[in-house]
Amino acid sequence: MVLVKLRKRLKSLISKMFKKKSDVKIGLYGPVNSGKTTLANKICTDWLGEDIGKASVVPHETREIQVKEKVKIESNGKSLTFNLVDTPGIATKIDFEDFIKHGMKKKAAKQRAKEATKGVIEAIKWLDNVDMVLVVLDSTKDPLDQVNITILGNLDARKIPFIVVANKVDLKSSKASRVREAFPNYKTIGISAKTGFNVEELYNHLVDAV
Amino acid sequence: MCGKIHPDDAPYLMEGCDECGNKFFFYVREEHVDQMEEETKDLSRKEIEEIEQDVRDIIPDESKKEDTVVLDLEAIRIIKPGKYVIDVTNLFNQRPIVIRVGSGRYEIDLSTIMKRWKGKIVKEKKK
Repeated sequence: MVLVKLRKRLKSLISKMFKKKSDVKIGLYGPVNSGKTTLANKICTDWLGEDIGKASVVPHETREIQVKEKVKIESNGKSLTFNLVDTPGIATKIDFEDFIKHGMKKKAAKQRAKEATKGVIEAIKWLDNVDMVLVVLDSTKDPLDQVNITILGNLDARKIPFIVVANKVDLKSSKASRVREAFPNYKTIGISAKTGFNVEELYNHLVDAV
Repeated sequence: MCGKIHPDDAPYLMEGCDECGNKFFFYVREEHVDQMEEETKDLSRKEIEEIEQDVRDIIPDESKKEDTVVLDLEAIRIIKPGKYVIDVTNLFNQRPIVIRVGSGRYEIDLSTIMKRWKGKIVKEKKK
């Protein structure tokens, strides 16, 4: 029994050691409208010269998993190649009437709500496939939210390495310090995916973390 | 599936519902039965059909019709067409995806459950 366990452990260690760095998948997770796609676009335009998807002020713009393969970043003399996985925003409530407030027609709003719900399920399923996660939070909002706590708690429990990205620090109402205080045990970086502020710092951490 | 409530030990669990013939059952705790009936009583037939279609669109139905499946978890509730309440904690905890729809009907993502919760499914093949 002990031998079987040891053999399994050894096999897992060897497979980890020889895993190609280009096979690494980094997932962007977070609540709705926290700027995941804006950050994904920033990373992709910086290193590939093209976007990954469309970002929007209307919630749940990203409703399907989007993957950009072989993103190679360089920082501090090191490089990292990975597949970037942009995921739909995690939400506890999805209501088509919220989309109607943004000018959508009822039928389209209901369709969006359905797709967004499916997107949440898909995003959570995909967690099994990622090697590292950037948890993108909106630093203008209260970080102690059920969705944020659930995501972080689960990553911690599953031992998936992650960095908390306090996004939107360019906004006046941003309080990145509140995010740090809320999650003092986790690595937190304040950035603005929109303006590019401090994104270089994030790249530094990424090449070191994976 | 049709909303009919059967007692725990009903023979229908093995043979399929005597109302609709389906073998998907959802375990509703006794204390939740009233709440479920209250939530679903105002739904029109059209809304129920709309919700059913939404569920089919959201979850791939890879289940085998000859199997009986009983689950006791709700991860997503559809209050009305286009209005969803998601229990992210349950979803993250890799528990089976069960969609509870307003009519008191339920569908599940069996493929997910088969992968993750093999031991938790009450599943018996028709003899």
